[in-house]
Amino acid sequence: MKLIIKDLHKKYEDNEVLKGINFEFKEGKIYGLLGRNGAGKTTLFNCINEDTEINNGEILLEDEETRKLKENELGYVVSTPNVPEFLTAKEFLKFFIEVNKEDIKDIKELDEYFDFMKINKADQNKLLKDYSHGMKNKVQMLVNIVSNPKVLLLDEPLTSLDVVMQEEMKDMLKSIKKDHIIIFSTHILELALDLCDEIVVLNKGVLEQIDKSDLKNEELKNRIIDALKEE
Amino acid sequence: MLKTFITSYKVRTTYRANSIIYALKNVPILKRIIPYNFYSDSGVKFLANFMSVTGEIASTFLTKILYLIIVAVISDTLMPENYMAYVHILVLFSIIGALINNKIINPSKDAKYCILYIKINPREYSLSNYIFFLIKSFVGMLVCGLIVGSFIKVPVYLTILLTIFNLFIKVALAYLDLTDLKKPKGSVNAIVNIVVSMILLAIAILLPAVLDLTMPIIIFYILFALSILLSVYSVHRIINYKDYLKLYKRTFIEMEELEVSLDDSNYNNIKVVKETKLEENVTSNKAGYAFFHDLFVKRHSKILTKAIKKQSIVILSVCVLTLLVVILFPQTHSFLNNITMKYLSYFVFLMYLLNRGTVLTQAMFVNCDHSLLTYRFYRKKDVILGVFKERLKTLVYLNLYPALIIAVTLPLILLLSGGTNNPLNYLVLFISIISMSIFFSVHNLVMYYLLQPYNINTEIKSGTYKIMQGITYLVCYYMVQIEVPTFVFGASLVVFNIIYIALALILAYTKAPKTFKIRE
Repeated sequence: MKLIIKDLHKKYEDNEVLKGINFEFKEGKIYGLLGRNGAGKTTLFNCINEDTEINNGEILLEDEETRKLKENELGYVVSTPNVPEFLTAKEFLKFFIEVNKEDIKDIKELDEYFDFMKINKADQNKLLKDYSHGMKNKVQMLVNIVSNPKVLLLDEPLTSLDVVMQEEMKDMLKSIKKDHIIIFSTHILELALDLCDEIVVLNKGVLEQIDKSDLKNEELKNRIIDALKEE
Repeated sequence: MLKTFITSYKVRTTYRANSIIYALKNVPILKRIIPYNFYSDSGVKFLANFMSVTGEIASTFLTKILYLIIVAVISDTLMPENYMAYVHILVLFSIIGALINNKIINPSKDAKYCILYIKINPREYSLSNYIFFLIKSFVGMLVCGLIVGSFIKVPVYLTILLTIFNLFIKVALAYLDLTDLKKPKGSVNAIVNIVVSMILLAIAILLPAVLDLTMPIIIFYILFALSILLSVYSVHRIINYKDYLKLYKRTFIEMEELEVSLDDSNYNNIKVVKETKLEENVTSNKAGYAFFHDLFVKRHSKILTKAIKKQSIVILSVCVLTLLVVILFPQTHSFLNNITMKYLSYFVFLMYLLNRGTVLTQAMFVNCDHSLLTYRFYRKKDVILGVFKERLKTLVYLNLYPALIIAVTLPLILLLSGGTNNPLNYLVLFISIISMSIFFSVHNLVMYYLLQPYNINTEIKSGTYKIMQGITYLVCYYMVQIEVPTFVFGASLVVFNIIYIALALILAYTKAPKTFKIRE
């Protein structure tokens, strides 16, 4: 399974943010997407998620056939977590599962999902408006992985989490990566090197994969920083 | 201080100028023509700044002249050819104005930029802007006062004294604004201000109207002297006040709690819309969309069901009162009978005003769709339409409360005020009101789903939505001028409503899955 991006262009008025992206993301890997502020990482994600109109190009999923992504095949965890504040975590998950039951294979008990995400009983029944930023992030992540989407986009998901939560989340991502294409945007180079199988740099509107082979950590870091600095 | 004022004034005009350009850029046709770098074009900037400043000057004079004309008309109606009635009302109105429209601390968007981001000294900011407000008000009042005063023959010295009084009474009461904000939220001062203002308003109108009396001129002179004395005290308090920054920060937080940055004209509406005290202890036995929507309605009952019920109680009281008038005063019969038989068109505008569809859809966005539309599953066709259906039911149902009361009252008024030869008229009245209510509910919800106008920061980003709102208002307003027999008007209205509702729903079901998303 591959996520194929072909000649993707995105302009905001006269400002061309993405200038013809061509890339293939493969199943079973976590991709670390690095780019400087304003490089267009979120724009790229928004394009893949169809939040914004693209000016040119195609985004396709290739498994048995090559086609556009279906609604339930993509999960997108945004950097500022958005959750319906008037629901409890349990109610939100219940609603989500009920309206998506046709797309979710082997639906489990709600408790199992919460255990997997390490959200305890008391928190499950709290209104989401009373959740901390990090906890909202967890709920957002949970809802996004319950339906088991083939492609998972994560926009700086760990930045706001405490160290324990970060480790839990990293383990969780590693545990599900086998059947998924995971693209993970971050500013933190160490995190990208630690968690991701591939490093992709977005600079000047195009994507470039950094060849990791044979490089020691320090050399790799320097190569990435050089790639990011290129004007 | 002058430098502070100039900086803050520049920020304000820039903010306004950018808002003007921004608004232009959101008009469907214009946005294609306007270039990307429109904001940095110096000619455009100059023009927008010019519009902003002239707009401010024009609005100062227009509001003052309008205000004084109203005072003059009231006083001349109550006591013709007696300028003391004008003086009497203006003195009392000046005190009311000083109580309710006299802010040293003005938590506007540009104030926030100046104080929190540009780090302008908050005391200097407040005082210089307040002095500017006073000068504007003084010049406006003087010029307009002399013009209006000359028509009703107020001596020039009295106009000048009234203008000076208007200035000093503002200064004299200005310090209340500072103490007001020092107390915890929900301070009693605001309530006291309103009560005192109501009493003053009653004295201003009732004394000349009922007792044919005005305040003796000596009272005005005493008030004049008192205002000067109190001003000295007030200025002392204002200058020595230490907590400007704290005060601003608190008011900014209150502003942010509304969490919505719609433009200022919508400010009051939004207060109602963002629900911060959710009803926690309710649950739902339903499933799927119904479960989700049920919880939304129950947890936001304060802004949804309770608000409608309050409105209905007010309408019920008015209706009962009207029916009592019909029963007790037979002389009103021909007038009221005429209204029900000929002026059903007025009720289109009334039903438009009463319908809470816009507020409710805003509430849906701010409290619910704002967060959920970022999820892909929420934008699936069946989810959008599933939730739409639940909402439509609720919106129609809630708006039917007040509609039913009116729909029952109108035929009763017709019956009690002499009846009609054609009994179908009773039915037409009833059905028209009900159909109008359903019409506006559908219209508001469909507009929301087709033109979902908000972006992630809950700013209105769709010019089309605003234009549609404007058109709806104008059409309803101009309906008032149509004068045809109730039967004809009502019957055509019902037919129109049925066709419109059918078309709107078809449109929503086919287009909403594409249009219902967060604006960029």
